[in-house]
Amino acid sequence: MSSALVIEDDQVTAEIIVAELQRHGFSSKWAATGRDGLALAIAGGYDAITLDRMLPDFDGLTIVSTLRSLGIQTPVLMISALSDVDERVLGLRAGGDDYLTKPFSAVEMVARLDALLRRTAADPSNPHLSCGNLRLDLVEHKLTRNDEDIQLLPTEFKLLNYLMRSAGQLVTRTMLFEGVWGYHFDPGTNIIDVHIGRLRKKLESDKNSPVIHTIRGAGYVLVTQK
Amino acid sequence: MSSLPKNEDWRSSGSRLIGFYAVFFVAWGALFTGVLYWEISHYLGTVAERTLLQRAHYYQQIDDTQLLAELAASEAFSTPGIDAYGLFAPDGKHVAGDLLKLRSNLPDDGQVHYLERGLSIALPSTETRSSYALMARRPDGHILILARDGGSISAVGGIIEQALMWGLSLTLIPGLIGWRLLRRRPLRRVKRLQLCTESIVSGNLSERLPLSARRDELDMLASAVNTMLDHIEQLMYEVKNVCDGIAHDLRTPLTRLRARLYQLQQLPLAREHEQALNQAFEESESIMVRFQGLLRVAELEDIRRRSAFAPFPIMALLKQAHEFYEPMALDRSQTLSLAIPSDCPSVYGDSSLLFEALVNLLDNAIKFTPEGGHIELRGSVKDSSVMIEVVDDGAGIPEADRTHVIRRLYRGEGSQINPGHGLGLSLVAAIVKLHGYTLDIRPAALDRGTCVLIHCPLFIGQTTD
Repeated sequence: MSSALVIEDDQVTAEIIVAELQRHGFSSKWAATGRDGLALAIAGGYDAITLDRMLPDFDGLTIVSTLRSLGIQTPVLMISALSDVDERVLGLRAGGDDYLTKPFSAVEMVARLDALLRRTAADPSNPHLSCGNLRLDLVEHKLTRNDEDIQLLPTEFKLLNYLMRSAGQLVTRTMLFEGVWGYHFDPGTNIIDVHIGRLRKKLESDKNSPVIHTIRGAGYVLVTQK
Repeated sequence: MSSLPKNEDWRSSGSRLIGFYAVFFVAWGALFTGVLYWEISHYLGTVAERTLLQRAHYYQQIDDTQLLAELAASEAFSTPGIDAYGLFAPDGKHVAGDLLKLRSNLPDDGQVHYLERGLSIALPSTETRSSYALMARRPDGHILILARDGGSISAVGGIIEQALMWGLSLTLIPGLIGWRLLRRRPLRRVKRLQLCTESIVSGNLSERLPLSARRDELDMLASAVNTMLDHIEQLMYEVKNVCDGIAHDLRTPLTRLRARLYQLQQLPLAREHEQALNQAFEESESIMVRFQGLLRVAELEDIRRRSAFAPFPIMALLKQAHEFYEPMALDRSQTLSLAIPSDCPSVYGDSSLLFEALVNLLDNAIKFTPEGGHIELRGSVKDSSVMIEVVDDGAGIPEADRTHVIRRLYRGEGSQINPGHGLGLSLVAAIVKLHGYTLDIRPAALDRGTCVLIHCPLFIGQTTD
């Protein structure tokens, strides 16, 4: 079971985060002040940290930069009411691993925290990704299914790459938009669904291929069929 | 705000005042010279009349037999062409003098009369101009006519007329030149003020009307307007702060609300409860979307956002936006084409924000163009600027709506059936404004389609070649 440290001064928000984390199999600990949070984080034993950007005593930026300067590399998801792109840059520069803006959805928060945990486990040197009968060559940019080539457009390749890296995990639309297109705003429409739809058509012509499930109100999961 | 057309410069108050003075001066000059003319001619008339009466009186005392000799002797001293006489026999036959003919309309009453048409005269011309004349009957039945030329009066009239003309031209011509010069300076200032107000109307509320050192009435007005602008800016700032404050304060409760609803959704529920809950959740989602949009626009309207600006290749961005939206257009059987030049310099700005603007424009274009329609994303370089155009052949935006569409949350009447939160174009407008670009929305063809044009000046220090 993964454990998370929740540093958040608003009690209700903290309760929501804790409840959602528990629902997804995290054990979590809540720290209401920056001082307590920093002490707990330094003491260690957590797989991930959610950190409010603005705390009454400490600035979230100070906490994360202190942790990094102490050599503590626990993934940190910063949560902030400051949506300004500059604020995001500041947060990430200080050592935060991801940045989420209030108001956020609980699903989004957990999905991002999950992604952070997996990122630490991923091997970046592996030249290909596999999922079910699919094999994605990251050097040649080619997809093969049981040694049969499947033509992918560049965007489809990037999308599948992202999904295969997160196979079995929930990926939200904004995570895809950030990961595949590199932008940090909400595209606002079902445009991501359209791209997923096209990729899905290419994959699902074979009933043994993994399928992209849509999780209503949340995002997508690439799952291997039994 | 429309500027004063060139040919309507005369509408300026200075021009009107000068025009009024000109008319007043001409009328006054005409009246003055008229009175002068009348007085002089009246005086000259009286003088002529008296002279004639004196002469007549003198000849009255001369005996008929000596009259001829006396007439010849006295009239030899009179000016030829001005004074004349004629002596006629009782049957009207000419006896002596320069006047050659009797005139039937000259009454035989010994009084002086003014004749419009001249009398027949021997020298120096055959006919005088208008004349004063007197006809007297001699005791022997002969008729004596004494006349004095009235032309001197018309000559005086001519002189006065000339004086009037000189006076008018000497006053009116420098007056008109002065008017042109005088009018130019205040007009130039008014033009400057006009440009300034146009800039303020277009949203630069921090701008102020220029003041001169003269402290004249224009400055008084400009200074009053500036004070008013200070107040308006302050009010706008307060309103914006209140709005942003409300939005900011609502972040946490909205997050809580959505999370609570989400938590409820995870519980086992009766079917009808689940349905109601799903609807509530969707409503809260839609609030969130609008709310995030509002915050985003507020954030973009903040000028500090420019810190992330850098030169970037715009055409690559257009390609990416095209690639991003092409599948959506294909799904709706629309064609989304891309037209960009092979080579294009960089523009200065935030590529991420520009992409966000393009996403909103393409999204709108696809949403409001019927199935099978055409949308084109164009990039071009013109006069050291890059033009980005999103053109569609949909129903278009009615002219009256074009300025409203960039307002926050405005949605055209026809758009109610389509999804969206009405913030797309105001977001685009905010991004464009932040970059110092200009946004133009117009019909793509006659009464059809929409063309949204973003005009981006090139990154400073670069040229189009």
